[in-house]
Amino acid sequence: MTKIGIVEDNKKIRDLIQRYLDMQENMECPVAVDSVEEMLEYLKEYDVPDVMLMDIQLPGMSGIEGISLIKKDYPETEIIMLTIYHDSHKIFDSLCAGASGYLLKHTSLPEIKESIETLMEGGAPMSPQIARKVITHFSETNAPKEKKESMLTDREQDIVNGLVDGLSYKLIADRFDISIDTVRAHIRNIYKKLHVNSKAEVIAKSLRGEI
Amino acid sequence: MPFRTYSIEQGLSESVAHDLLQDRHGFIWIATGYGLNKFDGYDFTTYYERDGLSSNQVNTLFEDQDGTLWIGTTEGVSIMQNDTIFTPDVLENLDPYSITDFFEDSRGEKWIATDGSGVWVLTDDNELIQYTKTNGLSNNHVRRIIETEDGTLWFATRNGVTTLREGNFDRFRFRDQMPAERIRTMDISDNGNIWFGTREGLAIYNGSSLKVYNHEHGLWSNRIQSIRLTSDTTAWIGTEEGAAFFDGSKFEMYALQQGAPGTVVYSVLRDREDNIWFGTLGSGIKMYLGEAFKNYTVENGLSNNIVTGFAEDAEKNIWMATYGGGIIKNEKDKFTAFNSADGLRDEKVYTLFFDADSSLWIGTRNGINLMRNEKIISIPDTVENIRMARDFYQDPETGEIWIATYNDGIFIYDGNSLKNLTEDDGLASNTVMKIVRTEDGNFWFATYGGVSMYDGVNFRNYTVLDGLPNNGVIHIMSDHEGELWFSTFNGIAKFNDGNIISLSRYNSESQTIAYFIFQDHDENYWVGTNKGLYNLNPEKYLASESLGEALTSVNMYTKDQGLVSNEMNAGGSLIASDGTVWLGTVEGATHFYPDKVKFQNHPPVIHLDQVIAGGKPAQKNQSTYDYNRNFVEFNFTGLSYDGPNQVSYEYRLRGLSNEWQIAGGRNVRFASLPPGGYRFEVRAYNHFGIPSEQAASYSFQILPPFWMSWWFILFILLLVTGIIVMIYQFWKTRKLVEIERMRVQIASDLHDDVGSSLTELALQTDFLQTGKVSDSIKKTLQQIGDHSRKIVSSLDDIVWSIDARNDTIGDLTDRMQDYANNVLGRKGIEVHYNFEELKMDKKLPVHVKENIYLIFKEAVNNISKHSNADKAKVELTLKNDELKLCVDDNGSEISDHRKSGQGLRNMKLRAERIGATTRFKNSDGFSVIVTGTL
Repeated sequence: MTKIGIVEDNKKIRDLIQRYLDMQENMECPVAVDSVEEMLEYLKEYDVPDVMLMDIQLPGMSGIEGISLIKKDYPETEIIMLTIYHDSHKIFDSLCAGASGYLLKHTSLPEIKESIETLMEGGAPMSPQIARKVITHFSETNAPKEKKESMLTDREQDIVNGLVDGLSYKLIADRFDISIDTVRAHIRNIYKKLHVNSKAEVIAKSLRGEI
Repeated sequence: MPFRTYSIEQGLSESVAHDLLQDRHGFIWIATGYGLNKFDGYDFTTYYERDGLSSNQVNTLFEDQDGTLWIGTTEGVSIMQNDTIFTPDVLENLDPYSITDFFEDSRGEKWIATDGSGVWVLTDDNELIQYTKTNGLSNNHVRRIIETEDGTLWFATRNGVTTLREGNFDRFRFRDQMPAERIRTMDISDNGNIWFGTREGLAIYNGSSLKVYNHEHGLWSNRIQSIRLTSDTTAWIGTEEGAAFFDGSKFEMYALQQGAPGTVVYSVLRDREDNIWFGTLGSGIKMYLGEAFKNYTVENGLSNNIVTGFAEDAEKNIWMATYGGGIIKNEKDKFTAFNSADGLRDEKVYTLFFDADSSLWIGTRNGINLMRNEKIISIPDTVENIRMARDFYQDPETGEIWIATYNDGIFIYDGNSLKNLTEDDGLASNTVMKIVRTEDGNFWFATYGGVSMYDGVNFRNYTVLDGLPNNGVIHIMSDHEGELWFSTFNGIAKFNDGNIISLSRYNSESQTIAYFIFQDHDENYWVGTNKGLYNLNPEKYLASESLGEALTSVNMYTKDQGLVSNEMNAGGSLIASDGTVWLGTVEGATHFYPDKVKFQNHPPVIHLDQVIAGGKPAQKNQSTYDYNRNFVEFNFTGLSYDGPNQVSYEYRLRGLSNEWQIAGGRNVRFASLPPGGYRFEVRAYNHFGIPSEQAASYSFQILPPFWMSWWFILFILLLVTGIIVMIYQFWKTRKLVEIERMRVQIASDLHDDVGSSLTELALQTDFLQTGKVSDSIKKTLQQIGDHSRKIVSSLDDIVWSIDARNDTIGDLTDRMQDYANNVLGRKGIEVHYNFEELKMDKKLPVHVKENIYLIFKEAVNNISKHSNADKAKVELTLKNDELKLCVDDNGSEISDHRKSGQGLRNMKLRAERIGATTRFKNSDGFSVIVTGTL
């Protein structure tokens, strides 16, 4: 049974998703709140959901801020951003903050369900737009002097390039003669590296006494 | 103790207060042995090493001409500017030294006194120079620096006074006459006299001679710590054993701590309201409350703290009635109690009255006693058994005693027989609290059923129907002009020409219980309530048109000003023959000297501390808020240390209302402000009713939202197309940056609001499809969902295309790929892209980017909908500003739609808009080719 939490300030959308997911056999959605603050309160007392659907624009703390906070204390939970904008900048920011994927809000309910299932099976979506940002991120913000673990491996680089070229996961798998699951695993690793980078920033801040 | 204390319990960081300072904004700063404190009358804000202090042990404070706060610690100097504490580089040399004083001389140079390493001066050129014994200073332990009018600097040291004049250090010439070598402090009075605080008393130098004042003049301790002048000849002095007021010739000492021999007073501050503050060793800071209220409690020898009444005997001794401790005779502050052992019927006593024979009538809960020469004498049982007498009156002509009781109406005793007046006779209520007789011979009774007037035959009753604020009347007072004043459970009223005029007109007073009113010898009106004592200017009150104005007619006195308690007792007031007033409260008695009441007209400065919108504090200089942050809260503080808890606040929110309103506390909240411009204004009234000179204000704006409701969404659905066209029209004109910004805003708003509503709609149809519905309805639902999603994506495209952050070719190709993968990928059509020769970071004009994308979309849709292709190719090139887009497929099915349909027309139209040409090829599949120049 996959436990899902929702942070979404539009009550109707929130309720619809919650009700729909609750109706699924293998899913339950015990918590649907309208702000990160409320979710944090909830997490203090109850079990942490396996997956969290999180809006970006929220009253109070933004979803992007929320991801880092939630991921810091509950690293095992997977966060999928729900966004009304197809805005690659924001999506990328949230991926850097620790999200494992994103969905456009108008994605249909069955598709939302599928995405959650894919995520639980180890998949993570990455569009060409995001892939391009990944490349820029690793080439610009992490000059060679940075530690090795924050760089992309050659294979990861290949996969990102493939995504930029618009190849599907399957085509990428074919091109490099690996399985689709391997492609997914690589993509998850790439996401993790994005998170590590943003964590490094957090550590640097704490050393300067800002936190 | 006439002091108000603030120490650790109130939030002070430590109970040892070395120095006190009031800054230009009115805040009081306290240097303590552990931390620096800022005080606004309510709360202490504390600062420590972690906030930038060079040491937590703070010795001295100083504010310079520029408003910089100088903080002297045992380990150097810190300064505070714009709420930031730091040590400037030039002052870091002082880090090893303990700082004792700062001084800014007439040239603007800053002098720093240290304990052991002489004095330092920070010159105009930002240079730090040290002067020590080797330069001529008499000792390196310097305690204080001052400057006389002639420009001479004076240094108080552990070994006498040194002067600095025209570059030369000299010993003070009256050195031999100084009572001690160790000089702790100095000050200069306006007449030029220099005051020295030494280890052996106070020395005053008038330019030609030195005069010494010490224990012979009333000082308990000759060790003087601080001096604060209040005039040319008077000063408050802090010593090692308490504070002293010096009146020019002798000292009045204050121990500052009950029972203790006296505490060390390190510093004295006189604030802008003329309050005197003391910084002590171990007792925090203390404010002197003056001599208007002198309090008596069980600690001073009272038998009980609940004091219910007073009477004055022929020798001018004051007798007190207590509820539980019998009665007390006060003979020059020596108290003698009389209780049941002396024959009192009950120790719970309500009222006392001396009759013409100097016999004392005592009304107790359980009956009446009569006392003569301090002995209870016998009276008839019928009189003795009258329970709960609340007031006595003696007719001067007949000698009859009138007795008001709490339950049984009025009794009239002529020495032999007893007559009873009750409700049956027309009295308004059998609960009678007070009897007053007016010059015309009529009796007036305060009852719990209103006021009863009795002319000897008939009663005339006055109630709320006649204008009384409440029928529970506790007290009646006849003033110097013979006008009657009524105290009720809901404020006061006066009787004027047969009419009752209420003086509790404003809502917030409604909970005030008025126990009594009295008029002092200067004819000022005073009202004793459950919230303290207030002085009332009736004319001003009656002329007021708002509660704010009414406040200026009322001066409130409470525990904060020295009253023993705020809760007075019914019947608990007496104007003594010497003009002083005795007040009975639930926590003791107060002897009140109306002529010693302090009045100060320093208006309170008002500070707007914080603005919180939508749960988040406003940023600095922020003045616009989104519609969802329309819950706005303001926090403010009016600085009046005289009576911080009695500061009232009045505010208005222009844009909502121009009327000033009284705030319930130090914050005001506005929920759900409609979009628009606002200006919040707030001002404070101190407890004398003096308003702030200037209101604090804050202007802001709530931005409008796009409000959505279901019916409105349907309406919008129809309008969307029209609005999109409108946006395109705007797009085409593209003249002003401003318009563009607005367009982005409109598009985003549309997208956010319409988008989310449409998303709701789409999700709703998804959801409905999961239920048991027929296939045809399912199909319809599907269509509604698809349509909604399509509109959302169109909106998304528009927002994307006008967002300036997405203006490179890379952004365009990303989006194109996303779209093609999404649409064609789903149909299993393999897409090949050729973007290889493009410079991905080259910028494209917005309208080109947008139209190319939309043409591309149209072409992709064409393939998806109307062809049987399984492969597609997309090519985009840009060479020498020549742009070319090719979309090919390998479909073989030929459809009329593809050649002449709306889609092709749209593509053509869009191409024309950016000055490009379109070609369609229909061999080996279908091709769309667009070429143009940037």
